[in-house]
Amino acid sequence: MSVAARKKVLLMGKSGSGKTSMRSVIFSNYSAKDTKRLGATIDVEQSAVRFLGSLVLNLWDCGGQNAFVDNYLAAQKDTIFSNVAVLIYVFDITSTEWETDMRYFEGIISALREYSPDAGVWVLINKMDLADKEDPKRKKYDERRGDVVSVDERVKGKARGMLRCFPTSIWDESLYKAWSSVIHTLIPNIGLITSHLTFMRDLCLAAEAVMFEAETFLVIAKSGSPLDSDPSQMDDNEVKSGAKALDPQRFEKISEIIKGFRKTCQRIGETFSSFESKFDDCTVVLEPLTRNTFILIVSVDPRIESAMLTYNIYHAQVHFADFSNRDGVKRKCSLCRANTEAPYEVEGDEDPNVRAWDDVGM
Amino acid sequence: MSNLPTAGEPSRPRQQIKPMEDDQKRVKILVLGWRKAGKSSCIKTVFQKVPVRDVAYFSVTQKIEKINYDSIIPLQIWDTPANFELDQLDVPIGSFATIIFVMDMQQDDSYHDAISKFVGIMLRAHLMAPKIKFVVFIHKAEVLSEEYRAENYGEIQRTTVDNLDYFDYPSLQHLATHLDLSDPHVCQGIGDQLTTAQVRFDMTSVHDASLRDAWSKVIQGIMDILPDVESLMMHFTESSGMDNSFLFDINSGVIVGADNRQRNDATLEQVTEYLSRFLQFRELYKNLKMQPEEHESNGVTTEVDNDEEDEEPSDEPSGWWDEEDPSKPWMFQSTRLLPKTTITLWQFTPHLALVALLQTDVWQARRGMIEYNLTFLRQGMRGILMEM
Repeated sequence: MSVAARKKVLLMGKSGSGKTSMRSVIFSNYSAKDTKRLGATIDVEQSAVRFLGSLVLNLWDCGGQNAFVDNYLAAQKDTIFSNVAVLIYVFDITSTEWETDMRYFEGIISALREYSPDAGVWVLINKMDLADKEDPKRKKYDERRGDVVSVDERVKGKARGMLRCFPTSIWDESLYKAWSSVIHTLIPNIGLITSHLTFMRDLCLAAEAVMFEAETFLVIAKSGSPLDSDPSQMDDNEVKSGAKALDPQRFEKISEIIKGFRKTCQRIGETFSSFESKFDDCTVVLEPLTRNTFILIVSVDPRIESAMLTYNIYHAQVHFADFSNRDGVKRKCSLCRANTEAPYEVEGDEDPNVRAWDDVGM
Repeated sequence: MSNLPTAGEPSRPRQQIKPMEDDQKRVKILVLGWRKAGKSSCIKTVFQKVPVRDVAYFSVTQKIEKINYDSIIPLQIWDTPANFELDQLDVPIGSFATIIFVMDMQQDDSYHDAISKFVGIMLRAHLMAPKIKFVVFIHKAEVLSEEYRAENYGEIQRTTVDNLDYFDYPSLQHLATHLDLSDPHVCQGIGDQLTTAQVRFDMTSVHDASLRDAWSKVIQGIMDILPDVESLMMHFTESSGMDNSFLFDINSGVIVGADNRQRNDATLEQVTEYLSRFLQFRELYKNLKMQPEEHESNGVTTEVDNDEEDEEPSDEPSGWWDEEDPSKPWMFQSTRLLPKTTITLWQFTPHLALVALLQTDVWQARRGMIEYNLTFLRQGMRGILMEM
């Protein structure tokens, strides 16, 4: 058993801004409605979340009452702010004490930049659902984001960690988008995963192959152009299969759809396992890929049947499981050989009689 | 496997259907209720795809709004302003198949007024058009706790019966010249007839499957073809070794027919949620289409389907089948759950889909047979609908 990489993630922000609600929706399968019964977080609640077998998030949910925050910045400063991989700072868009909020934020971010200069900062401006009716153009959000960015620039100094800002609401997919962006930067071997997904996609004559984390259903990687990239960066296969017409937010929406459905299933004592479908021009399968992931393959080629997609997924399972081994890839595969993220030490790599994973014998 | 041939289906009904006034052929449903009871939200969240979160921002309905909806049967739902009186209708009351009365469950202080008003309307409508069915939607049920809900539900039912018992029947004598409304036995008979056979109470909430379930009973209650649909489904479900099957109106998510074995709320909620989640998913990918190649290898562009142009314009009245492309595979979906259940969906018409629950091992062992049986069920169902 290999040792997993541990990443420390701080979850901070003023009391009542929605930190624990988010954590519960993303990691504990709460519905947005369920979060109403959560109480205030006292001091720091630590939890460990395993991702893809090889990554463990140590989540520090830090209670936001002023007394605690003063303590984080004084006595506990060293413990809290050293070795941080990511800080997620949550604001409440409806807050009436923005000045005070900013002062606390400045305190926290200065401490972070001092102890963990490389840590990435994700600022989530939460409860957007409450502000959107009156301010559909999100002017207030833009102002708040401006304030946040200027504070960061002032205290940043030589620190290299970057800062990103997301508008969120636990009632829609925006929350999944923000959190996907967080974990995406933490996952090891992301290039390896992406190149294999693209290979799978092309093998299946598909439009896209997408990997989701099993527990949170957050999107991990997709075939072809990177997540969040502009439609102009799409590769030939994506353009040919009409991916430009797709909703760029679709993965977050899928996370929400699957998690919501999974919750309904729980009530009758069953758990979601997989699906296949044919509609309009699409043939779609969603299947477990490794112990911690699912793969979604969508094809618009009329020749493709879902059974064929399922068959290919079945044959990819063992190889994808390899990527979570920290001691490297052991199977002959030219995609892995070309990648520098994971050590590649394969017996018989030179031997033409040993068949490579990506040699489909065509 | 999933795209079985569509050949052999009845293509068009034999007899020509006379073009009818669209309004006339629609089955009408009148929705009444107190101010802010939730009439519009009951209708719009189901039949007009208005998101539940927008319900709080609805403006007050000022005048009658007629909502046409094409489901298994063509419907017209009349949304009314608060405190609407039957005299304000410009059509005979008998044109309605069902009257729905929406009550806000939270406002227990106004129950009595609302019910006595409803009972008055109900009796007048009943005397003028004895076939009308009545349904009370006890709405906004989600705000109350389980016990409170049951208590209020019982209270509303009891108050209705009391109101029927003590109603001043002779005041309506002018509506029923053939009855002697001063005879207490006659009045008792009317009250009994209504409470036992023609009034139903349903607790509803826009936040769960209960509202769709209530509508499903309303629609099934006015479908003449219901017995045929049910017996077809019963037969199919039994002979295919399935647990349950439901015929859904796709756009509204309302069940318009079921095999009616072991009905329970958990299953209903499960399949209703399943359908809505799947449709959300489909929405994300339905625009995905293979793009035509820009440069064909020998300069020949992809052959364009010319068949449509050859077809002569037909004088036949249009039907739902005109919206279909018969060469397309039917929409199909199957979701496997652990440990044992599989949920499947097959589209039957542009408006209807079958959702079935069965054991995963049955599905794996007999998929071929099930899909074979299904072609007959689908044909049978389409046959019934085309004859209408």
